Amino acid sequence: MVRFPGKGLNYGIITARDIVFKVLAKGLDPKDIKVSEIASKPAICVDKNANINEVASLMENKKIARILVCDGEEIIGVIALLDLMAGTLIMRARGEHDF
Amino acid sequence: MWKVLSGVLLGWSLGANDAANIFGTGVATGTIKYRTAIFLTAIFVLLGALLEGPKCMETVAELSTLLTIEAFYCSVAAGITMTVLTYFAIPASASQAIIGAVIGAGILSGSADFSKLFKIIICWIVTPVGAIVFAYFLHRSLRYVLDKTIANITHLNYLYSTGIIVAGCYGAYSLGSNNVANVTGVYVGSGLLSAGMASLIGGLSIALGIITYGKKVMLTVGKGIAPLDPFSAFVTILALSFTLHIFTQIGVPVSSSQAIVGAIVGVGIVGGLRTVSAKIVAKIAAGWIMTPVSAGILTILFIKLFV
Amino acid sequence: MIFEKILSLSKKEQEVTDNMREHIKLLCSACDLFRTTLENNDRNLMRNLIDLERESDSIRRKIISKIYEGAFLPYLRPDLCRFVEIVDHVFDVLGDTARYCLDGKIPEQIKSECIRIAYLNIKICEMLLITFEALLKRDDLREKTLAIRIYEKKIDDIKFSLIKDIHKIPISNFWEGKILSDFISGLTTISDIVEDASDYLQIINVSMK
Repeated sequence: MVRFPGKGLNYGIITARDIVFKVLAKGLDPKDIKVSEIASKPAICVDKNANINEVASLMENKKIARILVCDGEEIIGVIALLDLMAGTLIMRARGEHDF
Repeated sequence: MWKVLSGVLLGWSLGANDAANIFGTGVATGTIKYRTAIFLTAIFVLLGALLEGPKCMETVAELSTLLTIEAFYCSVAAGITMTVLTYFAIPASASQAIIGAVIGAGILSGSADFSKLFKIIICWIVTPVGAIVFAYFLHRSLRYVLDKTIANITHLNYLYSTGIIVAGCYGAYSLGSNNVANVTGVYVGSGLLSAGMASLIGGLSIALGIITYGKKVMLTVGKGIAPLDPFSAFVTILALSFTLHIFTQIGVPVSSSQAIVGAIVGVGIVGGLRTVSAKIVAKIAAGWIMTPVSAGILTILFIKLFV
Repeated sequence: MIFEKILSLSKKEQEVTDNMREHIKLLCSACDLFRTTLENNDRNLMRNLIDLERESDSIRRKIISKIYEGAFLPYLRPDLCRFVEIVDHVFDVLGDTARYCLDGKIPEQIKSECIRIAYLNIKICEMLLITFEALLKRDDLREKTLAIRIYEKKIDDIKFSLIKDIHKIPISNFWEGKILSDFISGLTTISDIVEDASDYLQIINVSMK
């Protein structure tokens, strides 16, 4: 998570992809690069009550594997592609069962 | 009448040895108690012998014309051949032994009918092959039907347990109907017994063999040839029964041991396994040749020496 | 004997499967009870758990004796009994873990993680029940066992972070530490045992094919 200066919550997100594609693959020296230069902005957020399909389409559209989970303005967690997969598989296995 | 004794002895050993082919897997997997298995086998073998036994008697009788004393020595030769080959672990078929013996006697008396022999040999070869084919198709089709119809594990369990018992009874019946001709068919040929009488005496001797000695063989052989699951066991016994029964209708006595080996191979092929080892094939082929030939030679010897 | 079998059809097997279902449902209730008492710190409810453990024992004995009275084909019986014993083992571990709870106090720092594991334990037991029902209907079990493995991995991940957090907790004496360690150990082992049980369901499923 990259916090940008300024008022309010201004966050960007930096991932391994950013480091590899924007720095290493280009032959640049990571020591010379500031995090703010390569972070993706704004950080994509999704409400904690969003359902799996929404999150999945968001991931597909933005081509990202992780999305922040927000409760209002507050960031409470992060959800990854694999979490979606695990959740969907569990849902399928439960089938029609209602507990 | 004492000459029937050798046939009775042959029947006894056939019962003791072949009964295991039918309920062996059932007993080894615990599906049926051996006492029940023996009881059922004996009853249904007798039933098969009485109801359809005569069908194969003709074939044995027509191979050559025999005197009763020659019939006696045929059975003795067949019995000895069986015992010796079994000792050397070569699968020996009572059917092949007796046919070989009868031909042997026929060669000596000049009354051997080789055209009929040809038909019989074809049937021997078809027996394991037919069993393989039956078992394979039975396994595939029954599996398909069961998967579609039975959706409950407890019902399936019930089906397997009754299936093995019913198939076993049918197997014993087919064994009796097909193999009793091996035991007393020679006496029909020599005119000592009527087909009905021969069936009764032969059937009883087989049943006696099953009751007195069947347990030991059933407990050891059953474990050796046991397929791993009850469905395969069921299919195997059913394939064996069909094969024997069909050959009864054709009128030729065939080998139940070779039929069950074929059935097991057929089931194995479903799993994609190539369970046919060259060694097994070689052994069976050896049996095919050695059994009738040795029985025939022995018979010729006996008749020459003692008649 | 044969006629009796035909008339009662699959009555014995039906009884066994009904009891097994009851057994697993009881396990789900026990896990639920555990989570509630952990959340509310209710020591009385913890004692109820120990009663459930005893009830599970008696159901297990009932099932096994019914099986050996003649239910199911003999080759299935050992696997069925093993499954029942594994499920009963979960009750034992659950009971032990509850006792550690009664004995010591759960530190606030790790409480939420423990409650999360307790919640996942309920979920994994529910999935075991679903897998069992699928087995009875001869359905494909693979998706269900996969779900169980997913739950188990989630619990494993929390366990990993728990063990790291636990180092920061001050312990005044060896026994306090041991009780806490045993508590966490028991809490995290439950899912491993349930995963074992689901493997046996798969074994039984394959045997019936």
